[in-house]
Amino acid sequence: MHRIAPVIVLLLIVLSVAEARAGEPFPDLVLEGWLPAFQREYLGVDDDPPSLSDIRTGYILIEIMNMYCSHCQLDAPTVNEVYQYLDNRGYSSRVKMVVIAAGNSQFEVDFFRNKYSVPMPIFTDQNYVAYRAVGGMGTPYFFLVRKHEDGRLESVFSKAGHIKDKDRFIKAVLVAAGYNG
Amino acid sequence: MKKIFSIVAGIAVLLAVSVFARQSAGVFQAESLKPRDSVLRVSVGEVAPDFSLPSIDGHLVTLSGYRGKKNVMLSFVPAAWAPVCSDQWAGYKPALGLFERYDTQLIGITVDNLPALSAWTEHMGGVGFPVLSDFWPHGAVAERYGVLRLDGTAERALFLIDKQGVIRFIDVYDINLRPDLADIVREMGKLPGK
Repeated sequence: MHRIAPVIVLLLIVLSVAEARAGEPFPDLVLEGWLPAFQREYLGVDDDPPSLSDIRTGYILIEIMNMYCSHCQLDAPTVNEVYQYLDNRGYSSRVKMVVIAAGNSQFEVDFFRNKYSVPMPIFTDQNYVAYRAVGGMGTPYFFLVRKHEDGRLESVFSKAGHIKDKDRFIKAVLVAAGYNG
Repeated sequence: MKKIFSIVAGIAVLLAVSVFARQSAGVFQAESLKPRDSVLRVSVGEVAPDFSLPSIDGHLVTLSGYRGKKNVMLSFVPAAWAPVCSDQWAGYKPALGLFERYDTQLIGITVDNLPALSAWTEHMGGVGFPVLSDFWPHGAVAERYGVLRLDGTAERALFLIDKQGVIRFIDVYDINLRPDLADIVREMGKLPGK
């Protein structure tokens, strides 16, 4: 047993690192950048710039990406499909989706939006303020954030790296948002 | 008991590797560097110094070969496998249409040798533009343009050269930051005939 103990400890440490974010308070990020009117309507935001807690919803699915990241480029069509699924199946009344572009200017965000026909709101984070506030992890990185009635934000799900299995990802998000599998 | 030990150890190693890989993504994590560490030796309005360098596709690329045919954007980056550099060139790949719109050939240059450059760009899934090695004599072209740093790496610098071979734009960026694509497009828009 004494030989196996260090391995179990290592295993627990690794698992705790991988899941460290779920259940933690989430910062009320200020969302910078230009949005078309229909996307402001989708989020239900009036303030400029809005904060995460201004979004009229119970849950916010956030992708932290960067237009220069090749994994984010390759993942863009899949992320679009996740948004379409949530919107088409009526989940968007409870789960809104936003993208935060770490280190990207408005020009770069607009380029990425047009290049990949991104339907959901993309916010700029040119000086990496939001990126650092959520831990500065590699991109893409996904968070599902619960907005409590008192405005408090809580991370209930997170995922590092690109989406390998879209259906599994959507299911995990919906379960974390309180929908039964 | 040995079997259980092997299985648990295997799982632990796989998870550890997985977490490490996600955090590092195969790219060297550098500390913040002195923003700029060289003195420019060319200026806007001058004819760009000519050079020939080997590219990762096996050809020798000569700057003057583009004369009369294409504008050229030289993108010097400090080193292969460095985090900002890996971002910068990977980001140009989907934006190559913007360079084509302004009849401009993007060319990447580092002071790394060809095997290192080849492995790095392959890791990025290819970049879609010529990548040249200024390895030997070490950094000679970077030195001629005045963007060779004291530590032997190149600055993060852009040189826009028109079809007559004249330098139209130079920007030597803070090595720790990535140039904004908007700056590049704005300067290409000022080229003669545009």
